[in-house]
Amino acid sequence: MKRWFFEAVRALWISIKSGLQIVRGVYRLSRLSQPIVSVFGGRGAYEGGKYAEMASDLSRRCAKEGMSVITGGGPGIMEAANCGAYEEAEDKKRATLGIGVTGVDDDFVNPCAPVLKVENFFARKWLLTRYSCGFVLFPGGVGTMNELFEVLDLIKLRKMKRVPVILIGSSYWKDLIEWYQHAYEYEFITLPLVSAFIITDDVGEAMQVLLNWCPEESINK
Amino acid sequence: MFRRMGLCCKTFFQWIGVLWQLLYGVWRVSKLPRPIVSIFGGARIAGDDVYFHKAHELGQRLVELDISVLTGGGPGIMEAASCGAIVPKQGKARMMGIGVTDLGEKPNQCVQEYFELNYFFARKWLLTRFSSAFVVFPGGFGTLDELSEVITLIQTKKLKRVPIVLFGVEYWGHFMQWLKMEALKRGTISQEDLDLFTLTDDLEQVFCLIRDECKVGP
Repeated sequence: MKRWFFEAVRALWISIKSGLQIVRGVYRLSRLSQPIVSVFGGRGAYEGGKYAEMASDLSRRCAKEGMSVITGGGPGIMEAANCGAYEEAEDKKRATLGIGVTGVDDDFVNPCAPVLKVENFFARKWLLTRYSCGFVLFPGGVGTMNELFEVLDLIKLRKMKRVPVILIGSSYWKDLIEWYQHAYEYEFITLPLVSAFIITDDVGEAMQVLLNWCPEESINK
Repeated sequence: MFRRMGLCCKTFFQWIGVLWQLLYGVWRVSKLPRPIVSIFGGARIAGDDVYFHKAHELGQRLVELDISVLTGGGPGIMEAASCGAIVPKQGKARMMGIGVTDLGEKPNQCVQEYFELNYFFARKWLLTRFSSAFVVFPGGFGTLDELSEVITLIQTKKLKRVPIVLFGVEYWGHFMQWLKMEALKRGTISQEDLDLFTLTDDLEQVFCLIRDECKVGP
């Protein structure tokens, strides 16, 4: 048999599985309290847990305003964000959700949020990016960076509607910003820095942006 | 209640559309003779830029070595690579471009096999899944997105370890500095993963890296 046949059968199997997982994920997302805010970040608690505390603080404030927080469902920043929302929310079942990937951190049990495991990274990113009204990024590695640039790319090419992208931790992102300026001078990037994302060290400012943007959003409309 | 079911049904039908596209893409890409090298790079680069010429030369020499070239099928670096990789008659290597609809970008004039998908993630999936090496030229959001996706997939062992070459020392300098100074120091990336990619300005080094992995040539 030809190779393309086996590849196609395998791809069919993968796409049926992740399609069902995505539909299941959308159902879970639609049961959360609306609007939804995505919080991304790395797996560690960096700088003595400073950023983890900020993440927790931010999701507390979100929960107080009736927004729900979704994360990648792993340890570190993601866990902190989940826990903040869970502790503060009145309706704890609808407050927060983690969306993880099988094979990554399999033995980690999230103490605060139910974690929906999907098979592929693209299914996870679909669920984390398509239904949120704002993105908050804490320091993280290449996974976080991947999500950041995917969102920016989709916004720039009008495949997604404009939403605020907030980077927290100005000292951490400094060199990446420098690279951004460099690329902007080269005209590889046409979006100026100020309209691409908001960089801040202050959770209150991030919260203000989210409140200005989000209140009317809901995926159940 | 009904709204929620409607949303789920909508997603389901949306996914059926994605599924056909993925299957069609897999069929097209898996007909390419292996090994395959993916070339990423920015769409906004002029024809007289040094990177343009380098991409052109790279494409040309890859095809001469019987290595198929996979690009995004757009203008800029992608165009340079495909123009270089116009296939000589005797070789079995092919060159293919995978585009995305509704960008207002036309496929470049050199690409020989071309198809379009509706979704970016489908395109990225196809561009990364079958390749045995990645060469990343200077580029913007899309290029960075693809690069970081490849590293993430390798980090989490969803993709086998393949060489990633960052071409353009000057352009990627700040980016590497960010990875080394901030990300490595704070442990968001491991040294092992940093070793995966090579920063270079020298085409010869690119070839020696690719050949090691692709197991062709001398």
